[in-house]
Amino acid sequence: MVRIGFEIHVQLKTRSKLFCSCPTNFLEAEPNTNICPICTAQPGSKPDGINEEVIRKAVLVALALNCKILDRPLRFMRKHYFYPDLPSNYQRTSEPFAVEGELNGVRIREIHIEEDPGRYELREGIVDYNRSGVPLIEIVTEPDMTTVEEARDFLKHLRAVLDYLDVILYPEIGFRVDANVSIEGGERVEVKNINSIHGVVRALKYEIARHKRMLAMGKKIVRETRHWDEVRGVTVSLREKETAEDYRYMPDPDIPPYSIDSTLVEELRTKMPELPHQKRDRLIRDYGIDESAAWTFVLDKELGDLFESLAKQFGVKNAVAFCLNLRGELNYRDKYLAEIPRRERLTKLAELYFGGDITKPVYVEYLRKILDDPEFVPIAQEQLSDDELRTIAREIIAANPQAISDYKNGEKKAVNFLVGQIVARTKGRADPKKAIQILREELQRL
Amino acid sequence: MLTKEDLGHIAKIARIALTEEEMNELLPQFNGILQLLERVKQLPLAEATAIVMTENEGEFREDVAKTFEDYDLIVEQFPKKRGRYAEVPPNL
Amino acid sequence: MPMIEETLERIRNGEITPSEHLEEKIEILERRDPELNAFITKTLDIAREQARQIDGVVREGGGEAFYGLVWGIKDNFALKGVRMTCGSKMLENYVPPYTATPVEKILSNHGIILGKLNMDEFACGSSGETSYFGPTKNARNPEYVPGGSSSGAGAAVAAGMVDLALGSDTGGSIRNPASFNGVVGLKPTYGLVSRYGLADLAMSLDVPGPLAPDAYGIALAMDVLQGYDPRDRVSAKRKLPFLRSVDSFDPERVRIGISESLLSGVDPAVRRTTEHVVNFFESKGSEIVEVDLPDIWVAFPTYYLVMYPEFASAMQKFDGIKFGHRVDADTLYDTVARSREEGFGKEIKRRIIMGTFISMAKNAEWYKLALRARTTLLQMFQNAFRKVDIIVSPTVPTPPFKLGERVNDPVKMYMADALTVPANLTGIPAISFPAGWKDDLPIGVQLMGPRFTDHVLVSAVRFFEKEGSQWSE
Repeated sequence: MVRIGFEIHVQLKTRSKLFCSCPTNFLEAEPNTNICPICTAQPGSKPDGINEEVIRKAVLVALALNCKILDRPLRFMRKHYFYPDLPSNYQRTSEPFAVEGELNGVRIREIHIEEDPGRYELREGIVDYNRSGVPLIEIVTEPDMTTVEEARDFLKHLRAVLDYLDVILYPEIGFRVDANVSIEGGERVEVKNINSIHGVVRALKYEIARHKRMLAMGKKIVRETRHWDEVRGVTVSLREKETAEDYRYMPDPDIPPYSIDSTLVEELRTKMPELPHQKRDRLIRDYGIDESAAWTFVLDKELGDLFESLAKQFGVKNAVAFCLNLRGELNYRDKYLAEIPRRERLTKLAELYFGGDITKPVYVEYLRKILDDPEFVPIAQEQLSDDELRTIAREIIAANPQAISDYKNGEKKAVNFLVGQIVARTKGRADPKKAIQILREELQRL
Repeated sequence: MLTKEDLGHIAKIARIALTEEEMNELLPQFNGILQLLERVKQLPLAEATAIVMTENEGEFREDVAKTFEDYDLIVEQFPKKRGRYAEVPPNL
Repeated sequence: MPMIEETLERIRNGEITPSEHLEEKIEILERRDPELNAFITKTLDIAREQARQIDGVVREGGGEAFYGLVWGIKDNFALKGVRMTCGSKMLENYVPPYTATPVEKILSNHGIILGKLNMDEFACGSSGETSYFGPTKNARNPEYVPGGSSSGAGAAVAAGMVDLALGSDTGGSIRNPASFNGVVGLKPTYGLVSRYGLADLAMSLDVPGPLAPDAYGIALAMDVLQGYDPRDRVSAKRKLPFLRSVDSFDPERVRIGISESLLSGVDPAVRRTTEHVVNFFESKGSEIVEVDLPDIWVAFPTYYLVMYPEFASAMQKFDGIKFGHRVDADTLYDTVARSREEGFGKEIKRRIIMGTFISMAKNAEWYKLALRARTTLLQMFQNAFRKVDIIVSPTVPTPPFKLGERVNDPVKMYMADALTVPANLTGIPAISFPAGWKDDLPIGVQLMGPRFTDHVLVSAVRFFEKEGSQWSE
């Protein structure tokens, strides 16, 4: 039997870092400009208390995951190991502040707070400390998942919860996952640093297959830590030097104990926004759509919001079709709708399409362009008049004698070929339904 | 008592490339210090409590971003640089 | 060694300008420092510029609180733009990008900084012999050690190169050199002075504090240095009335505690000096009470059990990547390991290895032992302070020893700390002041009190200065 558990690291959306006031916009900033004596471990520097927004967001997440907030002061420990992206060569990590939660049938063991290290490019041999000190929460689950699908569904649901709470610093990063997997007869293996849900699915499939192969060959699966190589699609054993660490946990004497006020917890409980499962129920109730569609929309917060606004403007049926289509295109690109800039273009697209100002092929083309090109703006496409279409149909007929003879011989496919020619020639400005109708009329006249 | 192998292992964790000579010198000193530390067991020992030296309870810091103006002075201290990055060998 | 009040008087009544006073100090420095080696980095130009500015301020009637008094700063405090070495090759060329809070306070109170003072490497020592920049000599007799780790601070104040010095005390590092050089040194209550900008040694033990020729200088300095600093979140939210109460010591209202356990195994001259101080207070009406404290030879290793792991943690940041000594190698591992190997001196490496060992998971029983021992000490001192207000003990078990005598025997070196470490482990204030002489070498006596009674201890020393006498043999 397969057992899967996760340790999920989420960068929290705050303006300043956990222990200092440096800005957290590390993706935009020039290297080594969001730094100060504290987050670069200059001798004599001391952590500047704890960022209050970190606690607010951390507790909000814990409450949304049905955790119990522990009634004891929050203490930070030092976790020691040497790595270039860790300026002090210890990471400040808290004891758990919330325990015993649940989501999607998976138990949450605990949640704690820690600081992110900087960015170390191994192959380049360079370090940027802008990210060092950015606040993280780590969500640890019990190994309750028994299939890859279950694991994927859990992560998707978790991602939705975090999006709804608006706690993720960079949606395009999302969260990082360390997965633990074991199969019956083998020890637990940890696979570290997987950066997408898609990656987790691939990594789990690979690793489970690897375990099964090993057992089949009579080999022992030992307890170890492996690294997921996204490019090659394999897990790799980390060399002994890197894993033979004793973290030598020690309470950090520079950080006094912090109490998480019960009034704060209650305040956050009352301020809890609508959560994914609640929205799903509401969409079913208010729009009459089925559970599967509702859940699909709800798992991507922006998509769910878009669905509602489109449904109000263009009706439920159109909105469902549009959003399912959009979801498909997003899946292909492994993106969340939040990662697409200038999303008002999608509403514009819906207006054009449902208003009959563009044809279906054009709508499909425009949709892809919107997702792939942030500069592209959809505009009404001038459509061909019936006369113009008729002229083109005659030209196509004249240019394709073989297809005509096929048609006369009863080959239905010849019609499709000719329609395709018309669509190509008109660069999508012909409505396919209209084109077929006019073509058939012309063919009749032959 | 510790062996030279133990010492080597600790030196690895502490990332200090001790020389053979140093290890030979350190080992007896190390074991001598351990013996000294053992003395503490003669005290009438109380139960262990977490020692917190400050009276203060943690006060949260407001979430306001502030750029440290002298970040270039920090970059200047990198012993090896490439542009604005700290440079390290490209293998572990 | 001119007294602080006297110097302040001369400056304030215009007899001497801050610049002229500074030149007096520089003259002594140039004459004596080549031999004493109390300074690692001299900042003469900066000091002269500061003095020029303060001349004008004093002329206008301002200049609080130091009026141009000259300071030396131990070289483990950050002063922006001036190298901070911590007495180590590891930081030989390190220039901090910011200034420590205690140093900022000195500057904004019209103190003049003459330079960065020599110290035992990374504050790990009690003799002043382990600096990468060469040993400091005892200001009273250069063949002898100055004590440590604030060795330059003790020597510079005693020699008159500076009026006041900022040191740090983790296991006795202010009091020991104060005792060995015959000056006054206070280790304040833990947290009373902000540690922001003090390179950490052992975070739960480190305390910045002043050295001065007399108690008045200590009180003057502490009024400025103390106070909550949001940049050091464990700093205390207390302000004690140092100058205000410096002349208010009333011996009849004070119970003095002594313990044979603090005198056992101590040099006879040192014992006699301590008894002399106790007799003095008794003669002035203080009640003398015997208290129950643990045998120092059993208790003092607790310090190392606690300090080593914190020290190893503090030293992790030195890897040659962000700052400090760098050895280039083919692999990351070798770069880090060799940079640390070359950059750190023997004692540092010894302590890091010990600290790493104790904090390893499989050695949890050592770590637990440290907690239990520390708790025991805390409780015993708490009990003692129910019965007394001040505990008297020697500062160091022996008078100063000769240079080179102990440097290769770490255990013997550690024993010098036996009487000073309890105050660090418990966080209580402790002051050392000159009380006796043996063969013209100074002997210091230590007063300890409950937390936040630092000002009382200072006033007690002031009282002794005014009405007591030095023991001599």
